[in-house]
Amino acid sequence: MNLEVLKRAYEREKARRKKAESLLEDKSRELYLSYQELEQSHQQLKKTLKNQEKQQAELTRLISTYTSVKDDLELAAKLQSDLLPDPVETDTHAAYGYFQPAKFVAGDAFDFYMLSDSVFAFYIIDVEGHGTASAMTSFAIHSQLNPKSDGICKRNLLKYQNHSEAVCATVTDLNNTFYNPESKNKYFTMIYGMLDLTNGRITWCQAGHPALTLYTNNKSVELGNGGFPVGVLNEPGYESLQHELQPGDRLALYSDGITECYNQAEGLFGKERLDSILRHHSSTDPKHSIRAVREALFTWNQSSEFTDDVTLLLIDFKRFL
Amino acid sequence: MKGVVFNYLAEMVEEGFGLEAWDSILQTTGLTGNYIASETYPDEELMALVDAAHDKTGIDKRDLVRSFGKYILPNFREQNPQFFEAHNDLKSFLLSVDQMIHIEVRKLHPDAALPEFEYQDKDDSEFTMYYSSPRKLCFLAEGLIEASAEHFGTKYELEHPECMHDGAERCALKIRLLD
Repeated sequence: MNLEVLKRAYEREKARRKKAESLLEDKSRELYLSYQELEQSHQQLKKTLKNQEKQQAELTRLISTYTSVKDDLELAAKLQSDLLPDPVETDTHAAYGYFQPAKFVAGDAFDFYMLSDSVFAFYIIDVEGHGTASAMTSFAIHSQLNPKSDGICKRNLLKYQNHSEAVCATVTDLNNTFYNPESKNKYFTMIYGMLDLTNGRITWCQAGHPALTLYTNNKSVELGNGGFPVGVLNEPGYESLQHELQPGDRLALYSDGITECYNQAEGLFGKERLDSILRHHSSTDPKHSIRAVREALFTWNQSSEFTDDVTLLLIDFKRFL
Repeated sequence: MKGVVFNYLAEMVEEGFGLEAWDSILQTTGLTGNYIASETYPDEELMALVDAAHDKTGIDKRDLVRSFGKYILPNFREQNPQFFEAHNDLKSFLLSVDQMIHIEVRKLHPDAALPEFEYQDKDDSEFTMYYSSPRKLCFLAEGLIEASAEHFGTKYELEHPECMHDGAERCALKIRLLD
């Protein structure tokens, strides 16, 4: 065979081998770089996974804390609900309440009870704000006004025979307890009153709370106006008011959570709307009146969650004792 | 065209006509012949080599390309036995070329320019493969079919009634299976 042919064939093979080796090197480099990239991605992924695990752990912790707080609040709400009185229905009088907290617990509260065989006492309070801090204040007031505990109510019951003096002293004592310009105590509005079942006379003290409304002969009359909220001034000078009820009369006490319930399109629920519903149902069972107000409020609010606590208390005077 | 095809052509010429013949063809064309299997080279180089091989051997170009197809197939089968093992007969194998084999080839060689095949079934024993490619290597396809038939032990008759070399848009390879 021709030597030149063999030499050229050899040179071709050599050139091919060199080219193949060079290609192999390029491919190896590409492979190495791809591996590096893959390794970086892998490390990044591991880091991301670790972060996710951390976040998951944090989330679990937060959920646990939230659940614990929620459980506590639900328990507090149950306690607060348990403190509310059961409806009263006797020959001489009846009392029904409606209570809807803005959150789990509320700053609104009410209570009624017999102070003696012939005296029916009642109060409604609205602590500034709503939520846990307001609820704590509300609990404290409730304790002071509970005739069975050694609080302001019991002390004044023993001290005063005169109802006017008793209601004024009770609200004044509450003011002395909760007024403290140095601290951030919450203030509150309230009405504290007594109904003498023998003569139908009601005696009450109004401390910045919406006036109580009397429904008589299908008409409504606001009784009283004003007074300073409790815990605002050192000596607010509370005064008492009196009115003689006739059998068939009804009293309504409410918190501004009702009248200030807001509807995006229509605005505030308002005092007139509440008054109109209560007047319309003034000769029916108080349960019906409360149901009518509640339904109107839910429709107005367009949600089952309210931005403020809602309280309504109806007291019927049926006959003299 | 992939370098592996050029290398098969070199092997075929060297085995059939000797190293000197391939050397002479390279000398005639002025090409280096340093082809790497995985690299891509201009189609014109293959055509120039086929022309030079025709001049050198005196064999008709169509026969030369057909023989080249026949030569390539066993090598392809050796490297990719799975494509053949999946089939029991020639027809099934040929029908899988466009949708299965070419798809797999593209995975390995994304830049490969492959011909397109369409099929028309007349009956169980007769069908037409329509070949289209700017390279117009329909006779290479004929050689590949012939070698495939030998692999499956199938006798057949092939007609090529429409051809791109005669101005047709695509080539019709009509195959009638015998027995």
